[in-house]
Amino acid sequence: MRKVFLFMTIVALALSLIGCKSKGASSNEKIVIWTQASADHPEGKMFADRVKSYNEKHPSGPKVEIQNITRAGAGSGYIDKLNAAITANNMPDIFTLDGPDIAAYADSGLLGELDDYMSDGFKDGFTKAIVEQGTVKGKFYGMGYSDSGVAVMYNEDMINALPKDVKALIPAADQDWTWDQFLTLTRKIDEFAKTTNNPAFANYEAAVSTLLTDVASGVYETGTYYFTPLLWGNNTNIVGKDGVTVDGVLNSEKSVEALTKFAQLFKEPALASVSESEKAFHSGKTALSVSGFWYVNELTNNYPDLKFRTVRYPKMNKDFDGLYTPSGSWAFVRNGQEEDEKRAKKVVEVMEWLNNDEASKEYYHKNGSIPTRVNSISEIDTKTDNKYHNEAWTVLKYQVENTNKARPVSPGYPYLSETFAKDILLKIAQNKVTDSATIKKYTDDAVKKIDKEFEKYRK
Amino acid sequence: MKLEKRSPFIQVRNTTEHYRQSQHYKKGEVISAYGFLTPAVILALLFIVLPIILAFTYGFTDYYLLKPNDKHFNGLDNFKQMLSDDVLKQSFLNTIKFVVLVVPLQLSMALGLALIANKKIRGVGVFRTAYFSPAVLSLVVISILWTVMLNPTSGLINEILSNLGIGKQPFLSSASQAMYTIVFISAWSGCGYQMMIFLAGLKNIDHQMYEAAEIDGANPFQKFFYITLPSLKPITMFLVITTTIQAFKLIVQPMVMTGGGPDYSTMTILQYIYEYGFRHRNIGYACAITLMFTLFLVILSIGIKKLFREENVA
Repeated sequence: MRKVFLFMTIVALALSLIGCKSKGASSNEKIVIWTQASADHPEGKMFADRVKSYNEKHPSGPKVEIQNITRAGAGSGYIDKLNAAITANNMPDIFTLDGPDIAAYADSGLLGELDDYMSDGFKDGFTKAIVEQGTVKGKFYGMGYSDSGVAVMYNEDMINALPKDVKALIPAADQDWTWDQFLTLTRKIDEFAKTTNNPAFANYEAAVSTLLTDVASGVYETGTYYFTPLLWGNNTNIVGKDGVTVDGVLNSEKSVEALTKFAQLFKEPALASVSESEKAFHSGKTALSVSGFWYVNELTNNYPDLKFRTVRYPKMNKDFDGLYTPSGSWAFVRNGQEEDEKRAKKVVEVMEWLNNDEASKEYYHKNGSIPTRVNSISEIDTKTDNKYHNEAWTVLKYQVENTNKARPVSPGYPYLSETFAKDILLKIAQNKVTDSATIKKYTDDAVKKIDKEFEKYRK
Repeated sequence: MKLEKRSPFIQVRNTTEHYRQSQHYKKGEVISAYGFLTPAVILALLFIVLPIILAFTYGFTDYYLLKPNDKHFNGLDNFKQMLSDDVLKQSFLNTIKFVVLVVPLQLSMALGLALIANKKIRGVGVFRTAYFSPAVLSLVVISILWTVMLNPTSGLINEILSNLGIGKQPFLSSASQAMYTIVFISAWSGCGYQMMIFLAGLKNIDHQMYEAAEIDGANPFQKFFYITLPSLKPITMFLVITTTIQAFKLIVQPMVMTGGGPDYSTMTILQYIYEYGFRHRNIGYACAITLMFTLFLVILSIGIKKLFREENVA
């Protein structure tokens, strides 16, 4: 019996020691890819298919292996594992990163630049916003495999119930409109909703859905992604072009002006709520919605009875003629600690396979991902049997080609984004603050915090 | 009678000492014992001792998560930063507020439920199971369920309040209500487990004491205050200590339900440490906060332990 115990002890010890010695994520025989998409998600499946086809077409090269590390709401889980791999010097050859995170990782020397390894003209095949998103200090690091977009959707049944003069405030799908026009429409809808018995308004809760509920529960990036464009549309931003200066930018007169106009959504009687019901727009509880591109598939597949129409993202200042609509998504980057030039070249070859025109088209068809390749945008099908689907994609396609802008490139983006969403947007919404003096104070306080945190990037 | 009042830990210690003195181990037994101990010791060293040492070391550096090989000693900079960190101060006060509120509430609820469950009435088994069930549910699941039920516009709780003629409440979306809501939910979800411990204590009280009290003309309140409560004192002390320490570890509920908001009103120390360390990648500062918080908890534990000893002596 004692021998058995001793044997078990030795086995346990050996196992403990084996557990301590981890094998590197990458080895010479294979190229390892980490992705945040789960294996059973359409995104995970499309990557698996793409990797499979690469291995089939390159039987003599290193085998490419993809590992799915599912992320939680804001990317945690996957990011935690990635950070652990960084600490352990155990990074995979290729991995996915959310666009705004690229700068922080590149600034820390963790990413390998791609310009010197890509095929001629490959970079030019990406849309401007994707190139901008993947570029840090003039060097290209991230190949975005999917773009994104935000538009305004409205419930057709609810809008049809409105008086003609209010209904006339809705722009056509191919028209620009301003935030002021959006606010006027929203206010009129709310006034009507509170006096009507029309069945379309039977479940009415608020005029517009903004997904600020997500922000309140910790997914801060949603707020920044959705509403930083209001600042862009007023010719300002949340951080300067150097990525580390916030004073005079985030708290500038133009920023405060844009945020004060955003705040009018929460002026009593409030037009939007920070605690709106789950799927409020989907279930007819709001007439309007500031909607991400993923709404299109979600609504057409799961809410076939909802007649949703789509119009462009509103511009804060009608005279502004730059880029101002939300964009960007996750991208493939490569391990910057790879010193073998030949291997780095091979790794970038795999990245090109995962991001070329053909892949971009495949991703659109398999997952509804907005193509990031100029030559693949035409693949967006706007001539299906579903007119709502067609209209939504027409609007989103227009924005991708003409008005999409990358989120700021900053090494401290996570903190910047969180502070902007939590200390400004959420505070405005939760405290129902609508005056510019208080909003100026919010921005000044946020600037102080961010400035302090950003000291390390200025050294 | 005197022996019963002594701490069970003291009895165990005495028994072990007696055993140690009276036994002479053979070499093989010693090797086996160390063999059994070794895996646990290795795991403890790897996952408890080493992280503590590393956290202590990192607390004095500018360790940035994405630059693990580029750490610099920065003296007391992190600790100085803590002094001017308003959100940290608020998180600490929020944590204290939570502990001060949840411990008495949760224990009172647990004791109340245990008293009901101790009655020999029909259906008490169902009651016991129903109140124990939250203890086996994941805190994340509980938090999500309550978030849905507390939705200010369409949640079940507000529908009930509306039907009762009470206005809808913002609950988690109000800076003044969010923490109290989390306190209540935490107490509700945790009291079932403690109810079972109280129940075990109640079952062990000698029934003859109640009979004697009845003969002396004691009413139910007197029986509760002079027999039940004193008899449950060791268990209550144990529960106060464990619940207090557990309460200081609050993170799941605010993380899932409010993200620390509104306006940092539910941000707790642990969540702040997590956010600074992993979201903002500032491991050095997060470790410095961890150090100070650990120090606080050690002092608190020593204080409680001292109190516990004094109670035993008394």
